[in-house]
Amino acid sequence: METRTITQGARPVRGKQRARPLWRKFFTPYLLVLPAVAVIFGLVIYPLMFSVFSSLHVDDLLYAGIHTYIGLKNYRQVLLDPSFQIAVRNTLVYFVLATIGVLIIGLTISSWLHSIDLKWRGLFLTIVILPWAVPGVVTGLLWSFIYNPTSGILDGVLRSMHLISQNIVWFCHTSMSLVLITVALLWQIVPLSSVILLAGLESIPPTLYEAATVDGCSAVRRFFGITVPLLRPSLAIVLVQTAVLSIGIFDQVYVLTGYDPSTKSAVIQTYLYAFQNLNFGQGISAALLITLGITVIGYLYLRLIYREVAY
Amino acid sequence: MKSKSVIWGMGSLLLVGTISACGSASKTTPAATGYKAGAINRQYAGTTITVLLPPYGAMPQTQLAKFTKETGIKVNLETLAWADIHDKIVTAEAAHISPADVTEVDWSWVGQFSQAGWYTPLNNYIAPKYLANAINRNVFTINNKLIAMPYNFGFKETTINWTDFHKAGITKAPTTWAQVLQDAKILKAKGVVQYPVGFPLSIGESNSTNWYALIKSAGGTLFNSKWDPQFTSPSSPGYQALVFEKKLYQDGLMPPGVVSLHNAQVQSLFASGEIAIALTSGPLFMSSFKNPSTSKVASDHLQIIPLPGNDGQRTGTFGLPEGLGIPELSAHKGAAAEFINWWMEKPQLLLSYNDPNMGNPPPQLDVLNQLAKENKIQDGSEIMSILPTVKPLFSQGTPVWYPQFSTDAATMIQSVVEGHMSVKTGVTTLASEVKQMVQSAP
Repeated sequence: METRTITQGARPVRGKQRARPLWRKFFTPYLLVLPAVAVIFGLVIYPLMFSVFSSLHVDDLLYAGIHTYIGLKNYRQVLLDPSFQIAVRNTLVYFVLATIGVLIIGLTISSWLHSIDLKWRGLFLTIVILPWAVPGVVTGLLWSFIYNPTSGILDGVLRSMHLISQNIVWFCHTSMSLVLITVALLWQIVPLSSVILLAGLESIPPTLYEAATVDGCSAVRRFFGITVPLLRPSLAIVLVQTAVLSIGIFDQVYVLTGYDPSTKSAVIQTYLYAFQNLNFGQGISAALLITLGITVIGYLYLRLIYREVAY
Repeated sequence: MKSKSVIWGMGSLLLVGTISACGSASKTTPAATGYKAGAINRQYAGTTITVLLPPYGAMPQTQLAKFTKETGIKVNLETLAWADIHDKIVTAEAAHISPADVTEVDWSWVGQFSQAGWYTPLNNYIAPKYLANAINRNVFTINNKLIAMPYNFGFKETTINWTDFHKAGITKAPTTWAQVLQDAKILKAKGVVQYPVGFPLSIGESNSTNWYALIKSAGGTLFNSKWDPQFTSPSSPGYQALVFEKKLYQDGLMPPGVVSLHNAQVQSLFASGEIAIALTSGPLFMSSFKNPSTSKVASDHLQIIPLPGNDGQRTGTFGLPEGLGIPELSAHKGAAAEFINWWMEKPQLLLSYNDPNMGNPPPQLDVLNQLAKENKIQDGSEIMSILPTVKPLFSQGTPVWYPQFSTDAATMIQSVVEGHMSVKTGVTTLASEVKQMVQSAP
């Protein structure tokens, strides 16, 4: 077996070089990362650990001074609470609808942006990205004006097109309400997804498509054979982002339908536990369960979809 | 605003425990602070107090400057939306930090705040003359402890637009629910307004409080002394009120959009002339209805009338006052008490009523009487005639589970009026939820 040794003489030494003390050499890297570690520990690790600790104890503001250890009772109560179960069901609907919407609309917009001339792309990209910059509450208010059954734009447009004769109360049906709220959510999250997917599309060398065309591949084949596999890193990021925003949906739901059980999300239920019922133990437990759900879904996305791509 | 507060709040859920260990409550009494109830002097000169109130509680800076000149106490006024103030108080108290030295205390928060022991009893901090004259003081009193001093008084009444009524040929104000239905049908049929009646039906406090108001106006009550629900029987005012609300909505007499509107938004519909009957309005709104810059009906003949009852049984309404409280954790209780006493003086109460951004009806009976006599209060005679019928919603004091009940009630009402649930199912479900709340209450 061939072995290689690197001798000290292999590296040219310029002038006099003072030897650094061993302890300094050893500790310097740790000292350099210490501020970042301290910040992460102080703002993430410790609060998270404390939250887990609190969730295992009585933490009800109406029972001041009582912090008895109760194990997983808070989690059990939250999971068995029909209100939380309904909220989780609603949240899953938002998540599924938002994922489908982002994939279809996001891919369509990014493909369109990718196809247009470079000199126009900047302009359209700016227009597309605008809704992303609008805060969630404003988005909710905007869509509440659109859906308003008395003076809303949507009813007005449909009436002017003679598609309806009387104004429709859009939030009167549960399934319709969930879809309408998802539309408001998509309006906010699709822009960034489109930009991420556009970046992915632009990184695919055009030569691959040219070669495939020469080989006689159809457009559909090129999409599923080249575009989709090479977009996997971008898709994974987009899907994780969609999962985080749709499972954590609050603003749009709160503004459009408030605490309505048929539409309230898991985060709204968490808010109610903590700020309406003043039961922080249950609130923290619900928040941690939601965090766990997002983490698991994010991990699965990265594990199953994300792949390093090299050209 | 809501978004920010929620994100802040959710973050606080994770961070709050971190801070909680650092705080310590300092309990003080008037004797400990050296404050003599009602005194306005320079005892606390140099102190800065923080005051946290909703926008309509924002006393103009020029007036606050007068307080500073008089007492030497500087006032740092923070304004937040009403619901956000609740969240801020909860988060701060959970972290053992005083949310401010003087804060808003709504009547509906009294049960929880009292149980949690977050507010200083003001019995010995407020001048006896102000205590004696305070309207709705009992709403803020639990176990003989006054946890806030009312800075306005609110009650549910009905405001009608006589100009619209006359256009439709109606000459008599409605006194019963049946008459409201009849008048609304005439107003609609004659094309005066498409949707004559306004009543918020979104899932929120304003929806449920209006239902309680109708119950009160029909001589009913929500609970008996043992907290047993009194709204499940079909002949009960609570049941009947739901039937009435459903009929108004289903017959197209209310704008369909009210299912997503809060009270202030419904009052805006009245101000814009889109409705002729603000069924459950409040005296707080009259000044904005009469203000041409905020109302299209300012020149119309508007009138406050008592809430219509059921079959002529019009017995009263309930008070929804807002108060000024001092958190137990405040480090400046004496100065804070001085501020509250100063607010109760006539010039401040008048300004708080007359300022177009505030519009708080004065909660001191002597000031209100004087205003009514001098004809300086909108519909003063009507208000003064309704006032004796204003009672607390809960004679035993607001229960700790009230906020949860309020949300559940609003949810049920919306489902009923939209036809997703029958009245019977709605009231039965709510009654069983109440039983659970009562059982699990501290």
